[in-house]
Amino acid sequence: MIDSHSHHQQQLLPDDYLDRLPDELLLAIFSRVRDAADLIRLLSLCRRYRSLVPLVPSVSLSFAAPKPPALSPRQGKGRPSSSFAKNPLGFLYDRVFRGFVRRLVRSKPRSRGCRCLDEEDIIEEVGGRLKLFGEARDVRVSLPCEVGAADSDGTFLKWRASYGSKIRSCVILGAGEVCRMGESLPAKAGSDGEEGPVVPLSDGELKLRVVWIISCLIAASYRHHMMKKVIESCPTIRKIVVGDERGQGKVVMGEEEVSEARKEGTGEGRDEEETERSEVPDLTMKLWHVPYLELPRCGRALKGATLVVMTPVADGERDGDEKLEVGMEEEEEDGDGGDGVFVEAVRELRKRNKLYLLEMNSF
Amino acid sequence: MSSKKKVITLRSSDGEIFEVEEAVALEWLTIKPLVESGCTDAIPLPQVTGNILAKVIEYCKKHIGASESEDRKILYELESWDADFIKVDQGTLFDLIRAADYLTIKTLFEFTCQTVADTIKHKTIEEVRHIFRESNDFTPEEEKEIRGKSWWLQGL
Repeated sequence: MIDSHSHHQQQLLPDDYLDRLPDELLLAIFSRVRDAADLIRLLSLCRRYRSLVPLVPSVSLSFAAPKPPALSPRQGKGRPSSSFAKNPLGFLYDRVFRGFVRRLVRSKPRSRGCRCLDEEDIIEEVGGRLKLFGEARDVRVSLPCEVGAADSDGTFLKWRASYGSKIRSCVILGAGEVCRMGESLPAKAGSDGEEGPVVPLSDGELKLRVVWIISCLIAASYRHHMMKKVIESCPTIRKIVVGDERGQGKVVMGEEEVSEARKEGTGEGRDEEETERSEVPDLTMKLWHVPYLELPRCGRALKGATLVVMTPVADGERDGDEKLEVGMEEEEEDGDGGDGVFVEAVRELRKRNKLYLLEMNSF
Repeated sequence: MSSKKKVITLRSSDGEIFEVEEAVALEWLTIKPLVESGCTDAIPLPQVTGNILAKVIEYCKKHIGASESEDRKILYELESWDADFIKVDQGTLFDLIRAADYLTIKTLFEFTCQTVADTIKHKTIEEVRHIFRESNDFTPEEEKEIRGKSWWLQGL
């Protein structure tokens, strides 16, 4: 890794010093590297970098899926086999909707332990790696998805949840398929403009949406539970985002949210300790659906696009709407996974008439 | 066509004279006050050489107005233009960063810094060392210590 021969040759180059950038410009570059593995490599490059890299404000940590044949550390540590077993709801769709749910939920070892990272490992790892970055304020964590979980059916699903000490909002966008705009116009779409008739969902379609909703909420509440512990152990963090390697779901805690969560602490009840996830409170749920949605800005179209927006019942309507718009602006700034589909589709769908307004009980 | 547009004169460190439209110069926050005060003399830029200043002007001229466009075609075109623009040697790239910082041109600074940051990604220590022309100044003892501490690096 470190080649001790080459530095003698390099020191002979006379114009090295002229080519060097001043510290503040190097730091500006390092701050845009983001990936912890790349930054850590810079740490061992030379003395100057060793003192500069820890000043970087934004760091992202990704956890790759561990190699398949490894032993499950869980078994070794004698932890309970799966918290899902204790969670009837989780158990239900683990059984019924397995294929779909698997890849949504956080990297929790399932029945046969094909995943080796669990919450404690991740918290430990994040804490350990962040120790190298004394100034890390803006932290992103990317969790692995389960091996073999592929979107073979072409279904598109993306979600974003905002949390403080509890959930603030959760937005889910799902579609049967994403295609290029104008590529395949369905017969139904016709030419009668934007506001087509409201088409109700079939039973099957509705069931699938319910699965999306519940699995996203569960994934988000697991992640949030972990995030609370991470921000507690890393006092520099002011903003944290936990996503997954496919960019499917994101739990976001901004500055205000992080300090709210810190104030409340992790003084959770025994229930949370046992389920390893945050409780989902009573939620108001709005659902929009259109059979075909064109997104002129990003040049894509969604077939069977569904938007679900959830906010705590306690928050009231207007407050929730405002927060949601702020969230979309943040998402836009963040690049929206590169294609802009999510933000544009959410904004477009919210202009339509909603299909359902429901309330969901705490779980 | 451009007869009515106000033109600002700039002088590079090596004495080259450049003319840019006022709208372009107003994006350079360092000289903005001078431009706004209606300065008609050539503005000296002692930290930027002529060849770099030419590149900076080229970039800003292309980007003015276009970056905010909503038209996908324009944005795609701009993106590929940027990709060609930034195909320069490491020295020029660093000079562009210095110039963008000195002149306070946010878009160019962001773009050039991100370009360098992207080149570091997934590189070995030696490769990065070469890009930045930094030599290994650790003592053998320190190096040993670093190696010892970064055992967990392997998992990354």
